[in-house]
Amino acid sequence: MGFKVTVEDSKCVQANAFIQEALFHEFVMKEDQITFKINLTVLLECLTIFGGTPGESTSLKMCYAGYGCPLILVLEEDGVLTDCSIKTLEPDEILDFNFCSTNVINKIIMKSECLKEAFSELDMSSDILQFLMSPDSPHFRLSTFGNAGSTHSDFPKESDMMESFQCTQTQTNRYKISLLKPSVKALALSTRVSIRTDNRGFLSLQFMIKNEDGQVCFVEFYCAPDEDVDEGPEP
Amino acid sequence: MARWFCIVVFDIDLTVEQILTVYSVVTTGKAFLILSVLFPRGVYQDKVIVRESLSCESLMEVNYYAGVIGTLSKLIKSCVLRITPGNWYFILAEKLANGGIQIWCELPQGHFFDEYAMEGVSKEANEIYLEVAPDNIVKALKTASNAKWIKIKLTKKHVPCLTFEIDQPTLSSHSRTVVHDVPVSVIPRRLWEDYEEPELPHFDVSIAMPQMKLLKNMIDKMKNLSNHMVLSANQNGEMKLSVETDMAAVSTHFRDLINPSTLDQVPSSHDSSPERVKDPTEFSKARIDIRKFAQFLSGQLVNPTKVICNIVHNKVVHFLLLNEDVSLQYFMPVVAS
Amino acid sequence: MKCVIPGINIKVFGRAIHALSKIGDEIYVEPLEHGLALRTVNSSRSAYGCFMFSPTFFQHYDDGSGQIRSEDSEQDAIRCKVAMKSCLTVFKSMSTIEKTVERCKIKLNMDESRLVFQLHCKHGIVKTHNLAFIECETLQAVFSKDMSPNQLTAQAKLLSDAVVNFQSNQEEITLMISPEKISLKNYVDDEPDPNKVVHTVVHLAPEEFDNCQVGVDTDITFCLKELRAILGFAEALSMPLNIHFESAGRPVVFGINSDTAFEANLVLATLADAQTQASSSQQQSTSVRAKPSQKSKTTNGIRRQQKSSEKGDNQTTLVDRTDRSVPFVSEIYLFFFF
Repeated sequence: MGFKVTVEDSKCVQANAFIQEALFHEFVMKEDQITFKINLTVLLECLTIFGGTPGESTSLKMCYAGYGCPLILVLEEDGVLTDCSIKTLEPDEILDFNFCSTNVINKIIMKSECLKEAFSELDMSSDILQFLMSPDSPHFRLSTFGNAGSTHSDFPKESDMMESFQCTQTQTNRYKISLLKPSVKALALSTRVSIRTDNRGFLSLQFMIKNEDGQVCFVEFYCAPDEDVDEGPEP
Repeated sequence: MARWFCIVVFDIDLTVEQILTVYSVVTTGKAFLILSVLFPRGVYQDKVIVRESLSCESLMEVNYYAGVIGTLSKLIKSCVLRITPGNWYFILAEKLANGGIQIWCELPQGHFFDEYAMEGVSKEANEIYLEVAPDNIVKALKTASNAKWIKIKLTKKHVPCLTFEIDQPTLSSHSRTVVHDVPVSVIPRRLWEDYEEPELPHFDVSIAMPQMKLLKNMIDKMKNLSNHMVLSANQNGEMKLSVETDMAAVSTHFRDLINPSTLDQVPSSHDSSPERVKDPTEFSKARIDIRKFAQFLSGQLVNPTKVICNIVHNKVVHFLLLNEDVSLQYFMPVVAS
Repeated sequence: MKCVIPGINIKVFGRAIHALSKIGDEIYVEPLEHGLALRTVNSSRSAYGCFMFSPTFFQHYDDGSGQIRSEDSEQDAIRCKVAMKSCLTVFKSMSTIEKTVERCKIKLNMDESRLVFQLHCKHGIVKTHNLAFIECETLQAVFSKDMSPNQLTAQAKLLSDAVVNFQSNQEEITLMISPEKISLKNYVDDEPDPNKVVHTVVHLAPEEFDNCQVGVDTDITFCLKELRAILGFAEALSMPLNIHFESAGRPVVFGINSDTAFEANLVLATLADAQTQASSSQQQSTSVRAKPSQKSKTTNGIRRQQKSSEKGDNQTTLVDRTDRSVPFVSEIYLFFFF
């Protein structure tokens, strides 16, 4: 039981954030499952209305009275109270990427640290981000092909940044860079990341995020491979 | 304690004043220029300057002074600087061009200057009014943040200027002088009445604002939700900031704020209106532009002692910032609901 | 060409590229026997920057001349240019690079026309950048430093402290030198309304300079933005700057020498005043001979108002951008070699 937030783009990428029940002081539900659509920007502005001053803790209470009702947020910090009433909308159909572990061909778990730099310095003039995963050298390679030329970041399996390396087959997959770039935020907050590709070339990124109390949340990204690209330029 | 000092020079005879009044009718704004033709440059001579070294406390004053003007420079591009024997005033008069904002800032010169010498337009009108861009002053003072001494003079170079001479510290024993000539324009006497101290209306509510830093964060978020917000307060220490759009309604409530008793001391311009006993829990509100409010908060005075908000229901929002001797009044335009 | 930069020198190399990036849009790379030259010039040809890294700067240096001679004696050594933006992407985040890069390999891949930068980082991570290059002629400015009558040497901090008094958008400044005083002031004559702008002047004492040799009392006006580029480099490495100049209209050279490891030079054109106009215009006709392939670079002439030295003479002439027969800005002499 818990809270799951899902966003999608272009029917090619989906991101989910999971916040388990255990992270809440109180979690009461009158129905088995509640789903609604809400404006993310508005929700974020309300949740961060107190700015998050270090040392001050803000309390949050969320209430939802049922279909058609707004989501009510009540935040309090240091005697100051903010109440928000945000309209809820009819939820859209959520994509099912049908990503199951039996079809996973290559899987890597690594420390987020080094991947953070690589992702934040990506050459955005490249349309695609290429993932090469292989039991042979270079093992794990991220490539872009932009105006400057091509750039490759190689992560060998012996690196101390690698926690687990299970690659059975050499796979090269390309994804639209604009769809994956937003994952850099989750990557920046995470301590570990798992990268998996299946037999269709679908990519699953799972980010493990720890909060100050040591509790763990997960954010995952699913992305379909880019089909428009032909062979692509050689380095 | 040793402080930094200022010399302002503006040296005109009575006879010149007579000529000025004649010419000012015909040649608007050029009276000053004619003056320079009739009289040799020697008229604009520097008065005696005494050098003193600054102590640490003084440096904080310099930076504080720069901070005060910095607050203004974030709000307005150009304003009027009125120099009198006792004070420096930064004024923005209420005009359509200013979008309804009105500012009156008072700095008693004794607080900042070690030496102060000035002579105004005439003995009866011992004042000077200049139009200046506060940002230029801030930039000049920024280079003086750890200066040994600073002199400010009113000079006539290619145009009338407020000249800042700054002695910067160096690793060697040599002094390094930096001179900034900030162009100003002199405002003729007949326009001075445009820049009088604003009359304060009888306010419905007067309340001390909550912590500026907290407000600033909050307003920055609310700014992303809507262009306007409603500011309301009562005489019972409560204040509310609310934003409402199609998508959401967000409201923040502050309690236990102080209502200064000065409300009763504010001079009322409508003495004839009966003083009705108002319910202290009744809210007075006004709708304001969030971006303008955010601008005001961002240009905050460094560590103000007090910020008081005065409201006339649906009409006026007035902020009074007080820090030691310096006071800044800011009238925020109110939007119709 | 193949060379390897050791970890400790990567900071210098990266910052050199950042400095050059503030001057021009293309980096000219030329591996020579006595070192690797990185050069650039701005679009109006009024600023030229050059970094020369000697073999001792590198862990390993091979200029490729041995290989070329054996293959094809007619072929010259490789000279190429790369887009500045591309080079910058390699060294984008200097703080990260300084912390993580252990060594940097640079090589020219002739078959695919790529300049390859390979950064070997901590944890076994390798970043490879394959940058497209175009073969070109040498870019070289002819200038003489030792013959300059005026020479100053200043710690980067002295100049930075002086320059900080000017606004960050200040285009040009004037350096005024005499045996008693050295001053810097902001140049306002090309402002739309000079009277509305703050005039700032900073006075420095000759004793504040490490070396102060005044041969000719003069004022020179040059672009501050480009000076800031090399000043930033010098300050990051805490190195002194040597300044060589003569008079208005003649170029000013800012140089940094690091013993034997590298040498940096920034040559800036200075504003010519009325007197030097006649003499320099004659020289202009022999100065810049662009090769046909270079003409595609548009010359964006800097518009200047003529500074008149006589009072009362208020004639101003705006230079037409294409009219290069009477340039106000004395250009540095650039020769393009085959």
